[in-house]
Amino acid sequence: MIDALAPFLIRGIPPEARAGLANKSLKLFGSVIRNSNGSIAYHLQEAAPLANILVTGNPAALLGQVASEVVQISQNEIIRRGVGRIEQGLSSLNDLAAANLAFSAAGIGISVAGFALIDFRLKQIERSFDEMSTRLDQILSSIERVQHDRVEHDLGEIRGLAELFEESWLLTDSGRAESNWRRVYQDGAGLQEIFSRRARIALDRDRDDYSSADPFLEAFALISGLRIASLLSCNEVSVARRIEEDSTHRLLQLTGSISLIDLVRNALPDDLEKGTRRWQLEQAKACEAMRPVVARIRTREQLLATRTAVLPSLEAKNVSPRDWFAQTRSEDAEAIVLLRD
Amino acid sequence: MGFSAIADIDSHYAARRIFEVGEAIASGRKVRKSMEIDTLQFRQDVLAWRDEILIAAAAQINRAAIESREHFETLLPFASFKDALWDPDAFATLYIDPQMLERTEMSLKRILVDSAQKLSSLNPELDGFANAMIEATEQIAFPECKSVDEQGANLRQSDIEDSRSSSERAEGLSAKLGHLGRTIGKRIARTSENVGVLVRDRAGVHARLRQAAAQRIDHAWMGEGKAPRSVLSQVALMVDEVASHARLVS
Repeated sequence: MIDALAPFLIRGIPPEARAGLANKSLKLFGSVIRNSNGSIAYHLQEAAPLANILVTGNPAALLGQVASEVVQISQNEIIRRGVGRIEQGLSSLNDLAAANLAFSAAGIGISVAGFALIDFRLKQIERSFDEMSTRLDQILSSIERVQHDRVEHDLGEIRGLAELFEESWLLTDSGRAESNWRRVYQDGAGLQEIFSRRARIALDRDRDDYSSADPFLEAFALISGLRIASLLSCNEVSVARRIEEDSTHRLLQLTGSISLIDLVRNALPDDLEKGTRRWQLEQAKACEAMRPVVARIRTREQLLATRTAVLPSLEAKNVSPRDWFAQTRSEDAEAIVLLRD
Repeated sequence: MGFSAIADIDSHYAARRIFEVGEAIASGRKVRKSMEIDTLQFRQDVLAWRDEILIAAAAQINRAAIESREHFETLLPFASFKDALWDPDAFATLYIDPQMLERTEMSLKRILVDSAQKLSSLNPELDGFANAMIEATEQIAFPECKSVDEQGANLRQSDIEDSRSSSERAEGLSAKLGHLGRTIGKRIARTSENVGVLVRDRAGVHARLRQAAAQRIDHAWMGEGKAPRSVLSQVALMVDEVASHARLVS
């Protein structure tokens, strides 16, 4: 471990943070945990084990899978360690109530926890597109003269950039690695623009149903995070901050004014008579259904806006972003690590 | 732009140049205020505040409407043909509005005042907005209607008029019948009244009045039309106005 990080790096959630989140003296906001006075107490960073947990998706199945793999080589100690590792990782997520963060395309902290994690998030986005493909084709074809396969192609582009980003970490030639990361930053700009535009079209054309815009917004958040991570892998701090600011601004232009009451109004049936018990019931149902949607929108905004929040803390500790990434990529037990501010 | 295309331009110089262009574009952009964490948190809090108040206000008015319609239902047997056929809207307005007013005016103002105080707690700089909002609650134009006592008097008067008209008709009938006299006439009057209720109900008269009540609640109390604005629409307008200005204070 990097010496300068040792006093500040926490693997998993420390008891004081757990207690603070429970008694509300600490508050989770995107990738940071804040004190009640607004100062940052901890920075969250996803680590490599998160990919295993999310890709499996089912903790019970995951435990079974780990056990199955290690039984084959008959090493009981590895079984114990493997199961314990996964349980520990899950514990971190549960402690933070961070499932939403973990599943979000924007990711927790600067996403460098491996291609498997990005691929998992891309597959989620692709699944969303598939589920509403007919509707999306109508929206897209009427404006862009493109079809669903065009979206799949663009998601494939993101996957290619994510692979390039990941493989570059394995190169021994750091100059070549930086060259690749800069390409990810540059080529990602076009994809950011494409998905931002499609999200805007979906929001404008389908005002009654936010859900058709959601996959585009997720793709936008994912490629934005990847661009920022690429720049920071090159230790290009100032441009990374600008990209974060620009991406957040664009995201807020898209979703910053979407609120619960608007989604609830849109969700109410057209023939619903006011001043009735049915109206009361339908409003309650719509609120219940839309609260998680709004929470997801707000979380995505928070995650994107706090993407580089860790930089001042790293600077104060004289640790470069790339070294910080390397540290979190080497984590093998906890799904999330914390950096005390 | 695909993965293979990227490999084709694998040149450190090219990548550096692209990066420099990106940096130049970024630095040349119009300077705008950084989206700090506090700013975003505050704006999200204001949005959540707006949600909370509008959902609470709508629910409160709807609850009042449910109760007012239940009360209205008890009045239907006393409605005359004239009420139902010629001016059901006036009948609905006369009996829905006072009930709605009684059930919403104070409770709605309480919701708005409490919300204004919550707004202040988000940021002390919002005190001015909160005070303006409290003042504005007094400006909400509730439908003009008679007081509960007057409504009761009207209802009794209506009962009497309705009853008298039926009685007069019955008395006329009794006069024609001559020797059958007043006692029989009154009996006929009571009978005609009962028949009237049945006929009105069967003819869908009550349905017409219920429909008028529903429309009154929609147009005057909960609807989203702008001319004139319903009570809920006025509240939404006020809250939207405050929220949009408040979000800029950060």
